[in-house]
Amino acid sequence: MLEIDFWSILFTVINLLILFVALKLFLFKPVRNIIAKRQEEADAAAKEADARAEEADRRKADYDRAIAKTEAEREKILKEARAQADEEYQKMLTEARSEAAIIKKEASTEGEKRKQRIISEAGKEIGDMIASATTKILGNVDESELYDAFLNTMEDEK
Amino acid sequence: MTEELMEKLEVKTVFTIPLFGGIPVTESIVVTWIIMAVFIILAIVLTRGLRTRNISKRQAFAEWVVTKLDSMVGGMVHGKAAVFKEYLIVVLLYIGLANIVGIFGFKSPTKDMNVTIALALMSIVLVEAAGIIFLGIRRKLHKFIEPTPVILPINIMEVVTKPLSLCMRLFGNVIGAFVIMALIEICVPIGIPMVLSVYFDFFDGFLQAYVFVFLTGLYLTEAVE
Repeated sequence: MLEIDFWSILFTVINLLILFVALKLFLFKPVRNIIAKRQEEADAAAKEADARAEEADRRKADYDRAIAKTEAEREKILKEARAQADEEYQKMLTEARSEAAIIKKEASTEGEKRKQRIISEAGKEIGDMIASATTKILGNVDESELYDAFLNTMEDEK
Repeated sequence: MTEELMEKLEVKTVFTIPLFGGIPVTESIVVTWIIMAVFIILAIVLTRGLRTRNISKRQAFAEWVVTKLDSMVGGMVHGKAAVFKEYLIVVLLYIGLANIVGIFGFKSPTKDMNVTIALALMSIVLVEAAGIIFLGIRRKLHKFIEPTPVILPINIMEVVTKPLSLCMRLFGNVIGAFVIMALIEICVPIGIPMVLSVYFDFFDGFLQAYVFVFLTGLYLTEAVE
């Protein structure tokens, strides 16, 4: 146990070097490689996710802008339509009013005419009635004379 | 009793390679081969079919072991010395298993002083070589008179005392723990040896491996700065 043996020392040195190389080759290298590879994959995945999120944000902004644009357009069209409708309405209203005025005017003229007619008819009838009544009262008076007399009186009164 | 103990401490030659007038292969070397085989087979089995996703328990264990060892030894070597991390991990694993291999009925290779000499020699060669490679020979030699030229003799002595203390500390601790355990087993054969074995075989074994690697890492860090 205490004697120094050159060969044992040499063997131990060689053994350790072999063990070092073997473990480096069979343990450290593959394990480190696989860990590095996984890290790489994770990094790539994270990067891709970031890119996708960015793309999604960009698209959302685009859509928002498009929606806002559409909304504005809709508002504009609606406003225009409303204005047009209003104008049309006003126009129609004016037309209707003027038409109504014409009708009213016509109606009033007609009424006046009818009134005059009724009055004149009534005058005639009253004359007849008076004549007949007078005839009945006076009895067999010459009708034509009476007529003439009456008419003369009426004429005078006018 | 003494003879039995001495027999256990003795490192026998298992066989002799008939080259250069016979190369003796001792028990510690054979046990080292077994330890190497265990580690290499374990490494190959653990790292079979590695994937990045849906990893097997085997792979998870392999990754856990490598990450743990990395962080453990990574704390010992700083800066430029970090390139020696893997070597230190291998030494840690080897000494760790070598110290407790006695439990499985083998003779600990670290109970053979030649093994600890080899380990210490490798450490000091690595430390000095790292100093020359990372700093250049001029800067390296200048380090001997830093901070003052007065301590030049101490610095020169350190080149020898560093590996000597590394070698003797490991060897002494392992042999000491073994002798104490053997004596306890002789005095109280039942119960107590099992409890103390946890300390002397496992704890002390790993502790010495850790200390050896820690000091080597310290020297390395110091040498390349």
